[in-house]
Amino acid sequence: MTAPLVSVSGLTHTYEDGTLALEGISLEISRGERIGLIGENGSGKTTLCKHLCGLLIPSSGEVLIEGRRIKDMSIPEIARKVGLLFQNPDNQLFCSTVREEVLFGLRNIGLNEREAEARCRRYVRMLGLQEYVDRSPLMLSLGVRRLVTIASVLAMEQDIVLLDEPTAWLDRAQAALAMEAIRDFSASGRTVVIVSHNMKLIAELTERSIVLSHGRKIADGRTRDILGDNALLESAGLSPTPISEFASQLGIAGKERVITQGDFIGALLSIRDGEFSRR
Amino acid sequence: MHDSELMSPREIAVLGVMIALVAAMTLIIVPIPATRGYFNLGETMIFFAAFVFGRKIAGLSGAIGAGLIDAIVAPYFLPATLIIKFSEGFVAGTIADALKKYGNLQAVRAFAVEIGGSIMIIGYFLYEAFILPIGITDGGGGGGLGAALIELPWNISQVLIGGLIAILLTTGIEKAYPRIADLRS
Amino acid sequence: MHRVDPRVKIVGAVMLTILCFFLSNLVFLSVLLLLLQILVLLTGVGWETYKRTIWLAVRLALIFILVWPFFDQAGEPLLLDLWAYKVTLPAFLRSVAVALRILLIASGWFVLIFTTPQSQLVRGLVKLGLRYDMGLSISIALRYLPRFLDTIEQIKEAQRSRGFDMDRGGPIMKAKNYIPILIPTVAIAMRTAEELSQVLVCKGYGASKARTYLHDLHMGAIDCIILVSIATIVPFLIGLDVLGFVQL
Repeated sequence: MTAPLVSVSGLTHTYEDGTLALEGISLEISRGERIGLIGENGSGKTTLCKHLCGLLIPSSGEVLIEGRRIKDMSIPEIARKVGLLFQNPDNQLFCSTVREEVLFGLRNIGLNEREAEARCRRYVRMLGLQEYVDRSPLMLSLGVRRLVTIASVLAMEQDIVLLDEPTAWLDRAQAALAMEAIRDFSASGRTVVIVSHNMKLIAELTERSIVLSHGRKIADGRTRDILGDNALLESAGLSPTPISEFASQLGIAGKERVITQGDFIGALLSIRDGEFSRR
Repeated sequence: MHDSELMSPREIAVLGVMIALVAAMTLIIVPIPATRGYFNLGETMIFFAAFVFGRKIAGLSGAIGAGLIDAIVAPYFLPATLIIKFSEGFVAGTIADALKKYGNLQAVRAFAVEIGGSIMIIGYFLYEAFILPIGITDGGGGGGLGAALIELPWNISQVLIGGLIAILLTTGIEKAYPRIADLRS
Repeated sequence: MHRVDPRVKIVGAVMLTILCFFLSNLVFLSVLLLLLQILVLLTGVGWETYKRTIWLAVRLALIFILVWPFFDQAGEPLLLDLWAYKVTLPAFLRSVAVALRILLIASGWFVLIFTTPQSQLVRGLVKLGLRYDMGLSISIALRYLPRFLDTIEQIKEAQRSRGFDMDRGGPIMKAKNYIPILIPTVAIAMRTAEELSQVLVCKGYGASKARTYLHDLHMGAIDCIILVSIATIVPFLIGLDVLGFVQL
């Protein structure tokens, strides 16, 4: 049996000042999954992502990439397998052109020039950055800077990519581009993990969700189940999706089944007819 | 200083940020501790300031930035640091500005680093050898020379590496973030 | 000690430093050093912090003592004779004097730094004559220093996740490796500077030269006593030394 792509067991991380960031996290991620990682600020989402990338050393527990311990892997080796999109685009931009910026990571993982150029072109086009390709990324607007970082991460075509708030800073058109690119990326069989507060994004892009609260994993299941469970979300300090909220106020239960349009119309009709019963 | 007028908001902000950068670079890079306790890249930021913002910002951010750190970790060097780092930035900035029109920018900057760096190297050497032990050495020769000589190779490498990075950094920033020119006077 | 006016502490630290450059008498140095350790104890700062801060001073002091005999071999009696390394008692004592000087200055500034919050330090400096705009720059710097340090760490992580290995390569390579870290740092710093200057304008900076403070600095009775004592004793001692009446 092949090892799962990523395997985490008993991961615990304590900061130097004693605060517990992660406690006993265990999970497995397979190829091709699309996973949402949700939790309130400070719940440990970013810390977990950094562990999956080999940026942090666990206080206890292990992270395995394709069966290999991440601590045994070199930086370029990890970078070939796992990618991380950081929240703040300005934390990595430094090249004189967008093209160079996208090529930077590709060169680090050892691609030859021809392959690198080809990938660069492909992802620049995918994120709508053709007109900016020779301009300095630091001089572009925030949304475009964000798209540049997305392009440079996706271009590395790692087996698993962790995206921290991928649509933050983006306007509607840019966000649509980004989501399309993420869908295409995952369609090619790669694993995508999306960290976000935007429940709508999680609902649209992921099938599986993991919920963190105070450093612990409190749920791991189908996205629709988790997002429909208002009690769970509230206990994790999260707000439900608008549709969930609306549904529960209309008295339509959500946990055991998917809320359909029919449910809504039925509820609205009963309001119109003067009956409003909570089932 | 030639202006008795207060600095503009822009200058205050730039100086504040440059002081923080010099201090940060002085703190975080500690690969090999020497007698001064740290081999640091504060030099890089001082030279960078000299090339991009000119001698006043470079001198002040150098003196205050390095001074703040020295006040905490090496206060016995503070008088030297204030004067030496100020001069280093001021002179490097003056040279870089004055010679800017004479062609090869890299060479001009390298020269500015050489002169400014020499001030730093010679300054600290003299300070450690003669001034720090002042009043004590006239009993029997230059006992302080020992410590000053040990320091020498570290200071020289600090200037060379710091200067190299500063030159590369300036070129890189001018290409990647040309808007920085707006912050100049 | 935390309540002493920062101006007094600043003047104290500076005066102590100046005095140290005149002190070469081992007795005076030791006594003063001991007195200062008492002050350090009174600051209430933990031993760990003190140890970490003073460590560099101790190190330099030891180096001075150790290498001194290569260059100062005057006096009798000879304690140790190893080719170029000759340790004589007077020379050894001289090196100890330098070592004590270093430790003394370090202790004095430790007391200043660890009993005075940043805002008070800057305000003290301004009240002592530092130009207000420079004081503002220093306040900005102190505020942004931790944030920049954090940003640099984040940038290192971000670049590392792109496969960028900072540690490989020879010294020239290692120097170049700082560029992908420093350019984003400087860019972020410059954006910060832009914003700050706009904030300053919006908050009416420069509208008038006069400024009032919410919590102004007041010199209490104790502060005055300490200040006057330091401001008279130290110059007095130095004067005596210069005139030859006393060997400090």
